[in-house]
Amino acid sequence: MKKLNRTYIMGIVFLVLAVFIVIETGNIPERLVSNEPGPKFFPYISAAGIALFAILSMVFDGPKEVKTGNKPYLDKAGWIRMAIILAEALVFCIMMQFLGFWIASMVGTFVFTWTLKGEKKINVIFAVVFSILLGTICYFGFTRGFLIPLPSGSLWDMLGIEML
Amino acid sequence: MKKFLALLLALTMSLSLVACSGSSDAAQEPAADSSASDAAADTTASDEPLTIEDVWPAGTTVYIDVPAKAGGGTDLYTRYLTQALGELYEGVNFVVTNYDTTEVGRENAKNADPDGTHFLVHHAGACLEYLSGSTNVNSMEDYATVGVINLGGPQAIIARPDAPYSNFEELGEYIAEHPGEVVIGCSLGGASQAAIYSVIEGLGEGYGEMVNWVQCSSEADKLTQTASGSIDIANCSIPNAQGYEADGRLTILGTVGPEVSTLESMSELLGTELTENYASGPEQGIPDATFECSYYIWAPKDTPENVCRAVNEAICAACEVQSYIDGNKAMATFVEPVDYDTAQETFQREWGIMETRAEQMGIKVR
Amino acid sequence: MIAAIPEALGIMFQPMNFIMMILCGVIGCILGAIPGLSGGLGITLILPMTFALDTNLSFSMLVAMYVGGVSGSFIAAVLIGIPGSAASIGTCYDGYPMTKNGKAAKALSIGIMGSFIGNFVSCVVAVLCSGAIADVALMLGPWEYFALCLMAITMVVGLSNGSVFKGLLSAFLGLFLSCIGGDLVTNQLRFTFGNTNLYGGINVVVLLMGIFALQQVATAYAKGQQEMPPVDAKSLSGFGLTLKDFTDNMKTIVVSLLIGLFIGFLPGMGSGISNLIAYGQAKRMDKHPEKFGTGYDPGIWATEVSNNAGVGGAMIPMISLGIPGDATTVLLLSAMTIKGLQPGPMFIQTNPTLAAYIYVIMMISSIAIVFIELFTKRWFPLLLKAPYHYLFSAILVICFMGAFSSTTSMFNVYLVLVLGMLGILLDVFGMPSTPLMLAFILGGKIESYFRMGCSYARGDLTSFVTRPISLIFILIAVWSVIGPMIMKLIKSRKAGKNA
Repeated sequence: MKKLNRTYIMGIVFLVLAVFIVIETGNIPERLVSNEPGPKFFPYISAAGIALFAILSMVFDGPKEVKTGNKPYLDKAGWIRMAIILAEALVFCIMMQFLGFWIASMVGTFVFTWTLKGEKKINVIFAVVFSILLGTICYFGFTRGFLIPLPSGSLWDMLGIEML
Repeated sequence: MKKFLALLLALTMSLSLVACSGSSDAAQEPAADSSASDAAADTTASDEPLTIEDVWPAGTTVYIDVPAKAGGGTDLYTRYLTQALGELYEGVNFVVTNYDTTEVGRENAKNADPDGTHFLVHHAGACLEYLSGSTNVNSMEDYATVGVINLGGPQAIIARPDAPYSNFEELGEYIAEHPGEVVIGCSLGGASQAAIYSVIEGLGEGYGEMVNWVQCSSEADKLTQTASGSIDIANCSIPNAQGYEADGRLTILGTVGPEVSTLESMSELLGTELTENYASGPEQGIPDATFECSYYIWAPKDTPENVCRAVNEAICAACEVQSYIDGNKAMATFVEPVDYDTAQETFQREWGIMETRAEQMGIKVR
Repeated sequence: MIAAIPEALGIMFQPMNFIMMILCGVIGCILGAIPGLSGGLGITLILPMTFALDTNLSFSMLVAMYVGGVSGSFIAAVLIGIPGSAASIGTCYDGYPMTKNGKAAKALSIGIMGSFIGNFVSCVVAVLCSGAIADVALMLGPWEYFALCLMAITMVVGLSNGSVFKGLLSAFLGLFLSCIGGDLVTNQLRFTFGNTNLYGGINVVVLLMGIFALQQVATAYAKGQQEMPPVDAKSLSGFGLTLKDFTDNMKTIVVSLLIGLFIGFLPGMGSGISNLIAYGQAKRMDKHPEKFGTGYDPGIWATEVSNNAGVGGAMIPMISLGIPGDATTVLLLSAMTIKGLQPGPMFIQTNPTLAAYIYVIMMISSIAIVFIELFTKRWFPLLLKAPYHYLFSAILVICFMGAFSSTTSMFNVYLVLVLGMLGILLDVFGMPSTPLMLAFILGGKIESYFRMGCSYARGDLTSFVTRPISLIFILIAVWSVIGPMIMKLIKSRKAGKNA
């Protein structure tokens, strides 16, 4: 049995996506306009294109990848780092929603900085000051300067606390 | 340990910066904002009449949502409105928020706090969109009508420059002789389709089925597609129609708009003498070829009536500010102050008109 | 209108008009340079101010902001590989590699001069030929627009290095993503799963922030590549380019200018499309197409000349026909209405001085911006001296902020994360993101023009091939796909015969 390389996995993933698109497209109600193919036409085309080129890629690119060797995209440590940064981004989004942009940006900047520095040593106080300044300038610049709303934090709204 | 303490320090500093504040003039995400001023909180209970100063004390921020991108018609009307309100109520901040996605704008306004500081501006075409299933927001059930910001304006019915018809009557004859041939561009299921439909159906019963309705939503598309001959008929603002006609790129068949639209009133509105080809549907012998589609300012449904009445007075005052009148004139829109009770009646009537239109057009799904 | 130019110049050089033009041009540049923000945002912010201002001053500010915003969008693309807007996606492909090769100064110089040439020359063309070009715009219907979009996609799919099949797969994935939300013809909701935030589809800024910014930062961190590119301090001062740089790339410059101008004046199209088409065409025309993507000069010339040429292009329908060439000119048109002006075909005749003034502002602000950028160029690469962890943590936060402020929706902030993960997945599978981006940008237009073309022609599909301009575009599209295969076949047969 052929070992699954990334191209084959890609092909399978997108074939499943194509099937999903076809099923969901079938559920789209037709609100007909005369003489035009309707809202289902292009989703079907996209599904057909995805399926076709997923198969072609598996057929032609898959064996090439087998021949050239299947170098891992990332090693185990790399995948852990990827998970960490994405998890931090998720927490940042959640903080932004519940604690507001101001707090989220200050904390988030510090956490991202700490993560992205890797093995380097940084001045913690400088990092804290940088984070506070960046978050504060962005928040007040947008909300007071440009009058563009940024999330104030739904937790504070629930508690009846008003952010600056 | 040092790193942990630094992180803890940062978190503590951040959280300690959260402050209770009596000031509500920070722009916040509108849907999550619960910054009800004390005055607004007091108004929830009673039928006691309020003044606008009670609802909008100095320092209040009022949010007006526009469920459309910046630069469009609704946005411009809203900016004229906030400009006028700003002149009248100097201590109050008015913030216009645009939404790229109409539905998101409508939903946000629907779910906003009913404290007299959150509103939505939209035209009555929103009723048609609900009835035809294009939106899930029911303007009748989900909002409280606060006021009418303008009565809408007449639209010119345009045709390609080489069209074999030059007025509504000739158009009617052409449709009868060439069924299935005429292509009309409009926002399908929207106000422009309803407006043009009132003309077409007025030409003869069943004429609405004898033409092809195609999607052509923006003013720019309508002008270019009609001028290029890609479509036969569309609607556009009278000032644009005049410009294109003068350049020989379009034929004007007539106009459709509120009942008050006559050659005389439209000429006065635009400050220029309109020629006969801008005559309205009734003036061309089609009495039902009118279209009432006012622009409203709506508040979340549970906004107390006394608050709505107070804000209505502010809107009426804004409608008498010269800059507001001039701005609406520039956009060929009729303006007159409409009191709270009349605004309710107007909306009810226009809802009824949209419902009838939707049934006639065969697009009513609710 | 040309006769009114001297008067317009006189108005422009009035102190307040001139100073505000410079200031707004610089602010536009800064906004354009920051990923997630744009010159359009700046115009939205100052638009309410124009109520109270004099007409000439208002347009000085608005037009300069527009020009600055488009001019500045290459800076982030070159220095950090994240486009300031969709107009500079193509600039990332060679601008950032050139920076990584230690030639940030040269990349910036090409971006600066390319922006200037695109802006200035397109304005001159617009002044001289706006009437004739506007007439061409009115000859085109949905059939021609569909064929043009199809041609654009087929030209660009060939851009992707590596597997053509993966490139096409990426393109169809982009097409699918463009189907999310209400369709542009009947507003039928598709793939929204009841989520109102998806009713308007996926916002292009959100897609950019996810697929470019978040994906890039996450991947670089995961691979342990958090290093800033070296900066060649010696080349920071001075012009940075020689006459030979211009002459060697003249063909690319001219073709890209024409592409940007043409795409720009078509209502509803924009620089997000023209920069990728110009890049594709430059690669096709070049003797060394394999060098594209490695930090190659023509790659930056093509994208920056074309996206800035779109500025002059977009002004043509705005001034000559009163219709917007792109999203930003919508705002400029509303400014005209606010000032009681009537845009339209008669605008030049009724307001010749103001029409001339708008073009004069564009030209003079582009000259001012080029001098300011050349002078401040020495400081831009200082950004690269900032530690990676500070710079990119700030970029991440600003990207999420930009995603929220563009859409006023927290959902889209989460969507940046989801799209970032999609971008990572594409990278893992070796699928290029360019075809996805272009198909996404064009997908909605392709669909709506095709369906509108069908309905306008009452179901007659032959109208797509019986209209001459549409036919030409379709033939180019077909040749873009099968042409390389045929040429390859011919070459191999010739090689076989000779052997």
